[in-house]
Amino acid sequence: METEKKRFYLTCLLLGVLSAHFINLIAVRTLNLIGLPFSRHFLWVEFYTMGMAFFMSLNLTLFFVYVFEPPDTNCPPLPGDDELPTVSVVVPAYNEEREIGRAIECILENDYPKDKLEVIVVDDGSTDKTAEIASRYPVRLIRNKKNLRRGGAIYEGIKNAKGDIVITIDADTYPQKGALRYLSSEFQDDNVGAVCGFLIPTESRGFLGRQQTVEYLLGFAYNKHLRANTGWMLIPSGAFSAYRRELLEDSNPIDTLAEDFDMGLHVHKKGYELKYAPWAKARTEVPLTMRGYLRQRLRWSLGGLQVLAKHRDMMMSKQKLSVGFWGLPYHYIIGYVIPPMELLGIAMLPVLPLFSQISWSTVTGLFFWLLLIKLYSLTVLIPARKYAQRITGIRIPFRHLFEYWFVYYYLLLITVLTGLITYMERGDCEW
Amino acid sequence: MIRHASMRFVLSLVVASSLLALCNHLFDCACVIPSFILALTTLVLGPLTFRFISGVILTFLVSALISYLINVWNALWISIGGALIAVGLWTWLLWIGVVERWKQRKSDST
Repeated sequence: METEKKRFYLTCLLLGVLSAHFINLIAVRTLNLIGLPFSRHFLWVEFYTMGMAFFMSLNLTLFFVYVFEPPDTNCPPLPGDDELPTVSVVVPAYNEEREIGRAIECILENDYPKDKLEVIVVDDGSTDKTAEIASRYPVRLIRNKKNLRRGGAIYEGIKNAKGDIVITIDADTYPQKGALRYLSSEFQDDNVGAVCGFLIPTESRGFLGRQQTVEYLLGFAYNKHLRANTGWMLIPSGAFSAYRRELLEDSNPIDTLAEDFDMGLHVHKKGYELKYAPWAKARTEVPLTMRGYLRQRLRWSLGGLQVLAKHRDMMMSKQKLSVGFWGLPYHYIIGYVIPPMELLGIAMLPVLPLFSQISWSTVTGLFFWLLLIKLYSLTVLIPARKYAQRITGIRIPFRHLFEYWFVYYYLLLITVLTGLITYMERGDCEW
Repeated sequence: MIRHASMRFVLSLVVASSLLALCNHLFDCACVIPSFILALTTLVLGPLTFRFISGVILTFLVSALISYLINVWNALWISIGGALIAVGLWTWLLWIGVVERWKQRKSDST
């Protein structure tokens, strides 16, 4: 790593640790002011506060990296025809008769040179009119006799693709004007192996609709930018991403439920970079019922574990330090190790005074300390909110941010725990 | 082995609380961290018998060790060390469980 880059990260680390310490001081001071005791004389409290301090320092360090190297919010001009490679758009579809027509129209009308564009719809054993509707458009239709699940359907498309670049688009995802151009022009850089677009939910009605909108906007404007910029983006979103076709020919992402993560790691293994194109925007349908939402998140969480186990040789591997020593351990620890601890920690709070010397007042103090720490940490989301608005034109109201931070966040933790338990019990789940 | 996740969750809380009470009684010290890790191990690694048993034994040993050390030296670094050991143990056990499960699934499918 260059010396200048090292200095930059060390400065961010220093700022992160100092800010975490400062936030903790303010929280303890606030508790003292309102007359709540906050004692660290118990191992449990010490453990909790140390864990939170570590977690906050880490997140604040990343926050400073983001703030000093924010996304470019000036929309670049559309790349010209000469700069564009040949593209095969693969649309896996399973019982998507309601959405497939609109998705194909959005792709065909996306202002991509016709002689450089091929659209492949893979009907993955649908029992409705998906194939019939798709066959009305000028696309190549591949029909799987039985359902191979998403990864299998995409792989069928990749094997039949002719373009240099493969773009995967879900049948309920609608690329916006110029999105295909922005996405594919990133491959002018020979080191780029995959590019991820910016997904925006089509619906923001109800609790799940508005919270998934917040999640997607912050996730793309903050997480994807930060990770791509520092070389450890692991997951190009399955609903709208592009890959060099030659890299995926031996990827075979059919044995996991998170084929995007699987293909992303495959690209890293081949020594290529994953990039993020914020101006390649697409609208996507999100589940609006709790049942549909939980099923989707179970697949994501469980699929993530499958991919981590499948590519376990990359964990702590020196082949690519930013992925092996940082990206994957971070993904595993923050994504799967911490959530059950956090949930169980909260569940055990009311049990503590019954079985130990820890008093109710100590537990109350700890609870309010956590609440305040979380409240102050909310500031981390504010720059991401601003950049998301500049890129998408969608403003996230502050009350939605509060709801996201104090309510939806815990729903996410529960979905992770469910995924973890289901994985351990069965290793797989229904699509 | 209890198959149902919610039952395991309740069981894990009961086991953790009992261990907490036991530590409190035996060592005059509320050693929460290992109990907490034990609860997690029970919860997540439950179906894998070997991992479950080794998890319980390991966490109990760590629990006793940390409790003893805290009683002898009541020092902050013991708390920090204990926390690190317990979290490290949980991270390691979970990782082994994840990889084992994957291998088991692959061998079942072939």
